[in-house]
Amino acid sequence: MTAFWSMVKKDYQMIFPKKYTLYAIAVLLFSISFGFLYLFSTVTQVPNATQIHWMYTWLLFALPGFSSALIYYEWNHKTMGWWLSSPYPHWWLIATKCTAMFLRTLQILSLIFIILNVNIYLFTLIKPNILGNMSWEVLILNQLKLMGEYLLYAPYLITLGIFGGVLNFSYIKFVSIPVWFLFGITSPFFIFRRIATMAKLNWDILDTSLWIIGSISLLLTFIFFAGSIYTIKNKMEI
Amino acid sequence: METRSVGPLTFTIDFSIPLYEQIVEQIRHAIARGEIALGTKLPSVREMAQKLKVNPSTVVRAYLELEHDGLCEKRRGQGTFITTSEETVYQIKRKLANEALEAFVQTMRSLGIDQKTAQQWLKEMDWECKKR
Amino acid sequence: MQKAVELRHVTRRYGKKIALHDVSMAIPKGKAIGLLGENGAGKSTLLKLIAGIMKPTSGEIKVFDETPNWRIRERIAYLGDLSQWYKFQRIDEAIQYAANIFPHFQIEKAKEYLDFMKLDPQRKVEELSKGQTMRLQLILCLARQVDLFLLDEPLSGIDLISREKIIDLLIELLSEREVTLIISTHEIHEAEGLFEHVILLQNGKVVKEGDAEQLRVEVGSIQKVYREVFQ
Repeated sequence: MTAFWSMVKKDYQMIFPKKYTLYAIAVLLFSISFGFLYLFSTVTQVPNATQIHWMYTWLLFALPGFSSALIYYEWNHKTMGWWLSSPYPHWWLIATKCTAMFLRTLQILSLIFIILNVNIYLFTLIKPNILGNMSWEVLILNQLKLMGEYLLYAPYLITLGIFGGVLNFSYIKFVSIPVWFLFGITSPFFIFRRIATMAKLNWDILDTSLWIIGSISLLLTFIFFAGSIYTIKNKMEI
Repeated sequence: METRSVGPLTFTIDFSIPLYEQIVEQIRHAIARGEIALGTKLPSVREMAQKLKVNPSTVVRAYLELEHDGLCEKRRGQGTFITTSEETVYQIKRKLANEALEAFVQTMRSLGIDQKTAQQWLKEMDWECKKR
Repeated sequence: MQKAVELRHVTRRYGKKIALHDVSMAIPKGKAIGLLGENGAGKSTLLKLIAGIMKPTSGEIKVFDETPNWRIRERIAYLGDLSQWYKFQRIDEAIQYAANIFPHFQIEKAKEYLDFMKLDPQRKVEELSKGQTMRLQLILCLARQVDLFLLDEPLSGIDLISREKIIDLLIELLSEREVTLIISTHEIHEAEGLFEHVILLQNGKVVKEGDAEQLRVEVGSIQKVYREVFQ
């Protein structure tokens, strides 16, 4: 295995060390089933992806937390010396963490997708009319679209978490305030976009095209990435 | 100070004196006293360093010094051996004895004792030092 | 004298606190160097600056005639106060990971060292005692074929057996090939025989420096030198 990928693998394991993976999956399974049951009991139908989106949407709030945990791990377990003294450029050290987190995101999304749809299927066995007049194709397609959209935000959210984490161990800690503030505005924005029709929100800004949102998200990804490199290179308080 | 033995040799290392000097001195004395047979292979640098807990380069330096004296010789690929020449050993013994004698004379003179008296006392001296 | 590291007017601050104050010195190449001083004297800071994991506030550092950069880190193995190994790996996984990450990592040598240090490759890092963890970390560091080793307090706060084994491993390394080894410690007695050159730091300044054997002639044991300086 090349150095890059073995470091990615290490970071990947670090997000949820093996001993917690089981708990994580159990919690995930439980919360999803519970959420589904709740929806079922209130509306008796799976109306459309506007409600089951919550099964995925929580990730928009959790992602930066997960990725900054990668930096906190290195600090709390005092492994930062190995990380920072490894003979690779700084962008590389940040890139492995982002890649690892992105792979985790894909893994979590696919897990949700599988567990959720198996759950819905099981419910149709009990209540065949649960899907109402929505076909399986539409249901699946809606979910895939939603996942695609969230994957577009993922790099921004991941690098934001990394940057926030790095800043926390630097002299320029105060910069993390606007960074987390930005997170505080954007994640609700992503959600409002999703629930706009249902909540009857007639805000023009919510109609912004996905292309523009995607471009801005990529731009911010780049800024946070560069910011993280600059910080570990020059401003670390170790 | 701790006493440590390496193969046929025993060392007492005192950290307040240059370490390589002590290694040289103690090997020299061991040879002079005949504690190690002529032609014996000295412990390897690594073994010596491990046992004495000193830097290997200190041992290398000590071995070089012994080689310089002619007390040891390095055989390529085999290690360092104690000389087989009895003549060299005799000379070293003589040199060490002379050093001791010089010190003895110095002390006697500083006590104001002349050569004749010193010789007489030396004769009366219990050579095995049993009384003490 | 060939130089491994050279510092010119190096100052490092942490906020208002000064960790190193205008230090200028040359560290000889190919020797075992003892970096001695009380806690907070600036030893860790100095090693971090040499390892290039942080930059001096002012002044200049040259390691093998280069300003520390990521490429030069291929020639430096650093074991510092923030160099605990990843707890979720097993020992053999750790060795494999190190072999993947570090250029010039000698995996056979590492396995040999494991044996020497009496560590079972199947054990998990999180199960190891403090002394055993330090032994493992030292193996991961010393199995790298590099020119400069920076070891920050490898002997502090661990059991006697581990300390002895660590010293043995260091002697083993030194008899294998010529390297520059900088060890910071305040456990002077045990490592006394290892040092060829010593640097004494106090309040961020170099207060004494010199050849170990020379200091033994002038003052006595390194422990005595240390006492004289710090009393």
